[in-house]
Amino acid sequence: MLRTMIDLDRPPATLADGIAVAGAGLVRRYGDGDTAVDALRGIDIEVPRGQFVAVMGPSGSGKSTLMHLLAGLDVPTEGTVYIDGEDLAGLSDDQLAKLRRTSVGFIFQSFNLVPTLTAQENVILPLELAGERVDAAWLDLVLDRVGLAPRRGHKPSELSGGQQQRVAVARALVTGPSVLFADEPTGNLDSRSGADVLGLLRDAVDAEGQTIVMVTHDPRAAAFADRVVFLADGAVARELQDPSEERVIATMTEVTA
Amino acid sequence: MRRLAFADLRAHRLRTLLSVIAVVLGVALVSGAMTLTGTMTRAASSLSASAYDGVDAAVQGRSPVKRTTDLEGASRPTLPAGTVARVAETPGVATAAGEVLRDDVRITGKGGKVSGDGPYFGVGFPFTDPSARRLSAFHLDRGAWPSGPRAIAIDVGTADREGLSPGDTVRVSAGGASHAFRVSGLVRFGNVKALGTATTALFDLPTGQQLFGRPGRVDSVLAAAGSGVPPAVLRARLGRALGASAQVITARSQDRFELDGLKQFVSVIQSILLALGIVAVVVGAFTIANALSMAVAQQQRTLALLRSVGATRRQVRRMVVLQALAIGIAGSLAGLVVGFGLAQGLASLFDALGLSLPTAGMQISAGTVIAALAIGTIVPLLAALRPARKAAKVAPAAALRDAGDPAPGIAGRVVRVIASVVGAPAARLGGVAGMLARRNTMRRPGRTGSTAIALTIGVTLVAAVAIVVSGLKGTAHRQVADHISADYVVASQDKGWGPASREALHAVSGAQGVRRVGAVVLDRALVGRDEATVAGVDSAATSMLSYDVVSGTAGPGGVPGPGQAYVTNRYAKAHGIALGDQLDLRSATGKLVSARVSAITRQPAIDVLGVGDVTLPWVAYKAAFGTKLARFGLVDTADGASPDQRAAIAKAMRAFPGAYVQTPERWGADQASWLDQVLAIIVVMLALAVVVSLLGIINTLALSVVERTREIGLLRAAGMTRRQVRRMVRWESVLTALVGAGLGIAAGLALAAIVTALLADQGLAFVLPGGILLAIAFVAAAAGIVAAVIPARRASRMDVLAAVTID
Repeated sequence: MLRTMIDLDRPPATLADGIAVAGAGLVRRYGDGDTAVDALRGIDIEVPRGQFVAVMGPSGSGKSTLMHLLAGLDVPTEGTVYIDGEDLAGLSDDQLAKLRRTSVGFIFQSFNLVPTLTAQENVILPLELAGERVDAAWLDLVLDRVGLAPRRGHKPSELSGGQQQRVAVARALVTGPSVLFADEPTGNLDSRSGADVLGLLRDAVDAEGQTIVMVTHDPRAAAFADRVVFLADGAVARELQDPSEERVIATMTEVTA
Repeated sequence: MRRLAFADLRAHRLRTLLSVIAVVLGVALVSGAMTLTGTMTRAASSLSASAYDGVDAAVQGRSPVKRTTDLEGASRPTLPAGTVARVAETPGVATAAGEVLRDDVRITGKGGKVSGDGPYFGVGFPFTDPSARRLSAFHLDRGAWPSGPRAIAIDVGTADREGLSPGDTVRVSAGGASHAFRVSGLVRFGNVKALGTATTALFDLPTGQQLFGRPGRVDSVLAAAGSGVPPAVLRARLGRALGASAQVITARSQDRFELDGLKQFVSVIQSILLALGIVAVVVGAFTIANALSMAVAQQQRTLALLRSVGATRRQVRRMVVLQALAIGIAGSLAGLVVGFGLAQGLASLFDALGLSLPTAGMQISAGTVIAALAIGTIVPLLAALRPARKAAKVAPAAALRDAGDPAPGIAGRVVRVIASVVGAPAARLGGVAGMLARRNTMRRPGRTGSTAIALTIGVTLVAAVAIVVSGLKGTAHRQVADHISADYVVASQDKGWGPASREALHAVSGAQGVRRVGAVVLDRALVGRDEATVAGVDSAATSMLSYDVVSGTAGPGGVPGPGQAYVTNRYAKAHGIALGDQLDLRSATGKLVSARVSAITRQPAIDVLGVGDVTLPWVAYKAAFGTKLARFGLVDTADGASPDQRAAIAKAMRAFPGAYVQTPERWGADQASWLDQVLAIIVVMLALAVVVSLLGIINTLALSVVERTREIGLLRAAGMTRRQVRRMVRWESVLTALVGAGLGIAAGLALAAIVTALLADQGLAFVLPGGILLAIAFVAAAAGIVAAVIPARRASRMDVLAAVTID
């Protein structure tokens, strides 16, 4: 059991050093009274900078809910989320939106791109929303890294599913976010395209020290991560460091059993 | 199916409400117009009943010309005062009384300004004779009937406006110089305070005869039949007794208080209001069609599901039609109620503007209800035809497919190009929000177009009229600039349309610095079987006025030579008159003038000079036609126009209330100022079209926002703030409105170009009123911002998490 414990008495400012995103005592309850359902029942998690974490668990285990809380898309019923040491609870909707522009990147399972924008326009969208100037050399580098430099002028409908997800990866990386959240990023892809996308994520971690939190139910995808957190019934059930596909499958079987 | 149709209407309250409002607006305007004008027409009829019904026969001088008022009050032949006694002696006559009547008797109140906007009725009548009074249209309200050379009674409306009561002194001018009179009493016309904006001045008969310049004469003799004598029999007897010099008619057909004019005024108001109603209905039809199309698009999956469980095309079609019917009936009923309120509101508005029209007992007639219901239900049904067909075409398999953006047709591609052009600045100014908005309007150009077309219709109308009106104003300006070389024009107040008294002109000729004063004088004449306005230009005026000769030659000094006449191109065309034709003109007093057409002159589309259809040489005119009142006077000064000079002329005319002096440019502009009222009506139309098309834009945006839930969620996840989301929707709304306005302006330009080309021979030029067109675009953009309020708020309040987790 390598469960990372957080000392709640420690002030978050010092906690920030070396920790990209953290959740402490996270509870997410839906409804109230007798019909209340706890999707998360007190989760503590810390993701150090430069770590690629996969969150796994059977459906209903709360893995997507955890990711939404950590990304500031949802608000915990109890507990606190820190990104770069900043407590999200105190942020207004506008501040959260601005945080998403600069500190957070997203990759969803599908519908990652605005259909009216070209690949390149989709990539620079967060920068444009922030009103920032786009550094052409940096953009070229990002597009090049995902292998889409030649298709930068194409609309999403003119790209394959794998290409679309690669554009999404580029968009998520373009701001140099503190943490990148990926929700089943390969769920809609064939295995080769999926491996391409996961390879890109892995490269970002290895080459740039990118922090990534990825929700997946695919053991092969989880094997790309540095660490796998298994959830069951809204709580952390198990963790694996440096997972292999076989170990992931074995642990999953244990957890669901 | 019926339950489903209503359930859908209930489920999409905003959409349903907007469609209903579109119907309500149209129906309210139509029914309001009909209610108001119906009431006014009835009131005008009852007014003429109370004014004329006590009179069984009206005797007047026989004249070949029917109408002589407005132009030359004295040119209808009068009757000798002795006719009254001859009428009274005719068997069967119970009462008879003589009357003198003019419509240019101006009352100057305490403020020193002429009261009212005309006509200015002046009546001389034996009011103090109780038996004669039953022939009069007036009832005493307060004080006493006028008696004696310095007594006057005025209408209650004028008294209220000027703050006058019996015992006060007013100044009165009957064309010439003004004199002081003491108000003896206040009267009502029938049961109303005043006839619209008209003023009334009553005198006893001798005073009236004196003041109106008709000593020993009367304009008409009014008679009532004794009991048992049918009015028609009485009129026949009088006709025989009086001979050929007099004409015996009914008081109604004589219509000496111009109540027909009141009815015409009512019918003009009716036309305007109905036109507004039709604009609202047509624009509303497009809005409803759009709303129903949206509904069909939104229900794609439901419809497909229905089809796959066995609904026939017919049933699906009927469901859409049923929705339109429900919208139509609900809207019509509400529209009737709103329309009734509108009619009352307009009535009090007219009241506040001093256009007091009798509107008591306002009620909705059965005809109005039927018309409103018919329009309100049939129009939505027509609007439903296309959406219903589209709904019926939904294939059962569509339930399983996800419909992408459809490929646009030709119209769609045109809209896409326009959206791209008007959107370019948005993309530049609005950042990502602007850019996304531009792409969104180009994305489904069919939808953008069908939303924008409601606005297009209104804007087309407004742009076309604005362009034509600008052209007409230019024409008016040029006509004055090219053909009047005087330093000043003297006419009457009311924007210079009324005649100027030649006495006043004579007074002006004595003013400091004035070299010459000329006059253009008008009267009516019978030419063959048709009436025409005939003009005489006195010798002083010839050098200050020129004619635009189309064919033939101008006589010496620019005016027709002896035995010659000018005819305008419009009159010549309408009456088949050609150069060289011989014309026989008969005056109201029966005198004959013969002349040969020596030139055809151009009468522009807007004829501010208004110098009549036929121009005669001064000598020939003077011999046969009236010369007391001038269409206008022309003034030549030694040192040209200057404020001092104008003041000197005004000073010379001080004794003549209602006289007006202006430079020719200002006079022309004043006379063309009614065009601005046309523009004002057009602006109201624009406002209406904008309001109705707003509903459509709101509808479309609301649907687009729902359709793009995922996309907006994604944008929010990528860091778009609520404010940026709102801005995006707002830009999209503005662009849609601008597409509509852009198309409308283009269509308006084309329409105006056609009208201009058709009227080119009347001197109409194509003028581009850039300011107005810009204002239209600005209004459209503002409308877009307003329309975006609700959809933008909806979009910005969307829950990011819910949006991104929808599958």
